[in-house]
Amino acid sequence: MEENLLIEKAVQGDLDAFNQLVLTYQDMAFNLAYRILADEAGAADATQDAVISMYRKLDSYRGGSFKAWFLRIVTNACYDELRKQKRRPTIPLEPVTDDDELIESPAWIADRSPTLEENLINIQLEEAIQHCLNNLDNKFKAVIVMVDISGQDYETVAEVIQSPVGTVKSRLSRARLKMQECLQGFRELLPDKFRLNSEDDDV
Amino acid sequence: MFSQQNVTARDLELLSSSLDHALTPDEQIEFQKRLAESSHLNTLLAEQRWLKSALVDLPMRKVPHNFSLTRAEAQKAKRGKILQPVFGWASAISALLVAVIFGNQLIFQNVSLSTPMNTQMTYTMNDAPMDVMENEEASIKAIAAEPVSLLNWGYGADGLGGGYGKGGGEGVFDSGGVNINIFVSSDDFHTAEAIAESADSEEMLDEFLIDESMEILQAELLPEPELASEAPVTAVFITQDPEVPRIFGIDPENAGTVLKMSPDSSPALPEEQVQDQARSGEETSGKTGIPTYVTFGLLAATLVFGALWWYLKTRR
Repeated sequence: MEENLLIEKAVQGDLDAFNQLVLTYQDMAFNLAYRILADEAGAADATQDAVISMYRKLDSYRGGSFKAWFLRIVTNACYDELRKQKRRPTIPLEPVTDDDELIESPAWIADRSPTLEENLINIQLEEAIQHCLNNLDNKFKAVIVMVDISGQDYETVAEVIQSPVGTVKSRLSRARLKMQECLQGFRELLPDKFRLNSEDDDV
Repeated sequence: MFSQQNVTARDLELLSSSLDHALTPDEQIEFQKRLAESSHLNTLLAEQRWLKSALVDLPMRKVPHNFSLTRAEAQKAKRGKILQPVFGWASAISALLVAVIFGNQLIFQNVSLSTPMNTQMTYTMNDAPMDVMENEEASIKAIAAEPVSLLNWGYGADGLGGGYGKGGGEGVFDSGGVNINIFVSSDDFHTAEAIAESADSEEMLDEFLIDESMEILQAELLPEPELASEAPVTAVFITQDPEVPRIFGIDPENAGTVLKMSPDSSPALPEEQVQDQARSGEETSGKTGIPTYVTFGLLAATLVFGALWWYLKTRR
């Protein structure tokens, strides 16, 4: 069914049409939330909150990109979640074996790539990138995640952050530069040519 | 650390846009020119291209569960949507009422304070030190070298509030009606000191003003045979009928202000009851007649409804 028709039905109170829209965008919304929050449970909470909030606000939807509207609600839910985490910091529970022995990095053990070595490097790189993302200001983080990870165009991102496209370009440029600088702390994960260049720059 | 020599913010923005293929033709030319000039910019471009690809290649997380809503969740969400504006409006209306009450009090206070006679007399009788009172008394006597009209009360010939209206300044002879003028010469002033010395200043004031004014009224009205003949009914009305507008009492705290314009038809209250009324009057807020507990209740309602509205707005 066409998206506009679904939106129209959802606005009129058709829950099935609304749920169909949710299913269309939930992967994108959850991944955006995950990259902003760096926490799967928090991302799930934020996405669910965003869906409920979107359902409440359906009658205030005034056209435009539905995706951008949904992503804006998700982004705001993530900011709320970050504020909540800041007020009440939590310590994640480390998983243990049946013998009560601590599993230090269970993600490393998961078999998701052809070789264990590749898997390890990819996971370390992902963690490094996530670490650098976490160090960014929220306004930079949201833009780089939406453009580089979610693959949104500048216009959509501008609509999400409710700012001009020029602001998106400027924030994106600064966010990428900061990421680049941050990743220098993980040189062993960078390609060889960048390691050499970086060492040359430092001299 | 990356060196940023010879690289401007504009270069970085062009570089970033080039990664997303978002350069205009003019920007493309400008960026190519800058790339040809700066080898460092070339290095940055390669590094950022790698960074972008690394970000794009990040694995997509699988959603832990569908986020679609059940009927029950949808109903619950809508219920919250109804309650939130209800509390919001309730809070706003309560706040408005509180503002109106406080605004009224403020206006009444200002009007009361801006009444010069009231202020002056209250000050003289209650708060002023004796030397100040004496000075004021002297100045009043000086002003009152000639008879001072304390009250000018006119009635139109066609009845109360007729062509000339209550309190009209038209003279008896001009209007064809009756004017009651009370004149007090400087000799008739009771000094503040004398009042203070009096054992019962309230009674003295009452007796003085009622008796004196009635005597003067009679003295003015009766010697005029023409007037008496023109308005004999009114003259009798003034002197004998209890419904004649008269000053029925002076509150020493508000001396100089006419408190009552008509006789009190209700029976006199016992003293205890009067005291009770006075006590309850103190509990009302200002001159609006709204009890203080109502005002504070509204204030509390504003806060409670506002807090509920905020909770519903921000809750998950």
